[in-house]
Amino acid sequence: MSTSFRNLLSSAGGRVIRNWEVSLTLILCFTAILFPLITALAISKGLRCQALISVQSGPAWTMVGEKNGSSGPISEAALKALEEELGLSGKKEITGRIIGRTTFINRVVALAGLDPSRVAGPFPLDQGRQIHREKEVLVGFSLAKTFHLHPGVQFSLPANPGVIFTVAGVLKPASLWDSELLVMSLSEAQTFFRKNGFVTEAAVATLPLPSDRIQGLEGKGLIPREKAHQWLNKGYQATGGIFIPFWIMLAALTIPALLISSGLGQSETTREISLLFSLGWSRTEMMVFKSLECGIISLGAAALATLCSLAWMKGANGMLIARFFVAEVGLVPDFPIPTRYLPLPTLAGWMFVFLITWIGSLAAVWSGTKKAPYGALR
Amino acid sequence: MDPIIQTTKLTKIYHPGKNSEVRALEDVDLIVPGAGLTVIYGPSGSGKSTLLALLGTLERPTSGEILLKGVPLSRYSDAGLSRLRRTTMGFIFQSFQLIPRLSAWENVAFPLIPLGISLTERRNRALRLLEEMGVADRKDHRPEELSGGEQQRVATARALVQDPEIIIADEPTSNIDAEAVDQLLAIFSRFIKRGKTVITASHDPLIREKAHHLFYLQKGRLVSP
Repeated sequence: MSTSFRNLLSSAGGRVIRNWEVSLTLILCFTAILFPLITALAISKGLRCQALISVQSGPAWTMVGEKNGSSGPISEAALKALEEELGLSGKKEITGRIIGRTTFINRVVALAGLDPSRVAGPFPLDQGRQIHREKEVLVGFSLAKTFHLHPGVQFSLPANPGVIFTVAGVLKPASLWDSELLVMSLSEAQTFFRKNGFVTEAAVATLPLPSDRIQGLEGKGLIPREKAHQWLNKGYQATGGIFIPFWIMLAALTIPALLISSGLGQSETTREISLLFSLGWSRTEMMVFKSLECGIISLGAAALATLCSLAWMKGANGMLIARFFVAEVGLVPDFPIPTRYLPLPTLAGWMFVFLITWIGSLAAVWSGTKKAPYGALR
Repeated sequence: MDPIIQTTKLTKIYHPGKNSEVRALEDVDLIVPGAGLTVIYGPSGSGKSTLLALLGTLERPTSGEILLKGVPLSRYSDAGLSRLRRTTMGFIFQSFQLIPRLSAWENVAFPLIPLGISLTERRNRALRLLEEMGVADRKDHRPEELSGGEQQRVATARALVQDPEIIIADEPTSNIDAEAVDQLLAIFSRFIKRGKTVITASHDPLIREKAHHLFYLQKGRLVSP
């Protein structure tokens, strides 16, 4: 780094500190803009990461029943035939399950019907115990909290009011997916949905297979783990949904931010630029000087926004803000909101603020050097 | 030998062709032969400041030419003019134009920042000049903590920090008392003794008395007083 550049850098830093009122106002304005964006991206990445881990630790193959473009039943006989065809045995096997939706009072909840003997381990519980008897269920943490479902409480569901369930345990708040979940045995779920002998999904655990065999299985509607992984990734890469209003908001905020960055202390800045001009600074040196100043301010804003977001998500579990990005989450989330902070969003935030402040300072340098600089100094 | 500054048919029109057109200078032919104190005077609005801005290369003329040691300034690019200002000119403004949040020595050293001079060297140069101007004891004070005369001397030190050949001073005595005017004239005198040039616009009779070259401007034209 040349001495000249180092001098400009330290002087730009000095100016940011000297004009701390303007610098702080700009940093806080841009932090307010970047904070929700960085938080939203961190939550989105966190959800994606959690989903990918779930797929990664899941079965080698999944078969999903399909009917008229929606999930449909798969008969147990079909599963048996597939098992025989694949020649699976022992731990390499096909496990059927039911994943469906139902209403609980006024809320749509997920219902999972699983074969307890084929679940890898016990469910992590906050209260109560695992399912041992008929008509027993495990309930998600949020659901239990909202409807006071403690172990021993009995309830029925509107879809099949004749069946009375008893809460055996409450799931530990671990992720978004299980906060509003009802877990019951596979046979209970089949009875509840009146689909005896059918499942909605089949998890297939296999040894590594040759490629011609893989193609054959895909033809039978089986989805390999890699493909599920790929689809999930693609889905989360889409920048639609909640991000569209964000981009609109950012675009809308850019205009006042630009005005603030170029307008705050405008007359003083113009005078200072005119003075530098008269002192023999070239336009390039002034641009470098102002660019460094913008770089410092934008770095401050991006770093502060990331730190605030980290503190808010880790310290307050995204209280008040998470509900804007995760469906059916209250003001105070009941489960740990997954987040993942990557350098890219902070870097993008820094670039965004840099560009806005830089354009603002370009205008100041232009007017300070082109529009009769001597006049500004008299 | 070429005069240090010469102008031919120098004209400056602001907002030409518009309703707000102002003919600030018209056909000014001026010769500043060399070292000494050149004073430009005349009534308010006569174009003194515009002439200084043009001679100081801060603005370009609408027409006409300025020759600096025989070299036309129109040949210079904007970057070239910046280099010329840096190496050849020092400015003293009527209202001093010190940067409010910088100390006296920081203000003096400010022009040296892009030159790749270390902080220690910049500080040493600034302190030497402040010493010469008799305000070394005020080196850490901000402009608002200095009297008008002290601010003037800090501004003068800043103008001298790059050891220019020409000092351009616009009404340098209008905001200071008589004692400070004497001190400023003494500084100018020392500067001129080193073979340098001071060009100033001033109403001050004390300054005019000391002038080596006098020019009278009226309505943008050089006339006999």
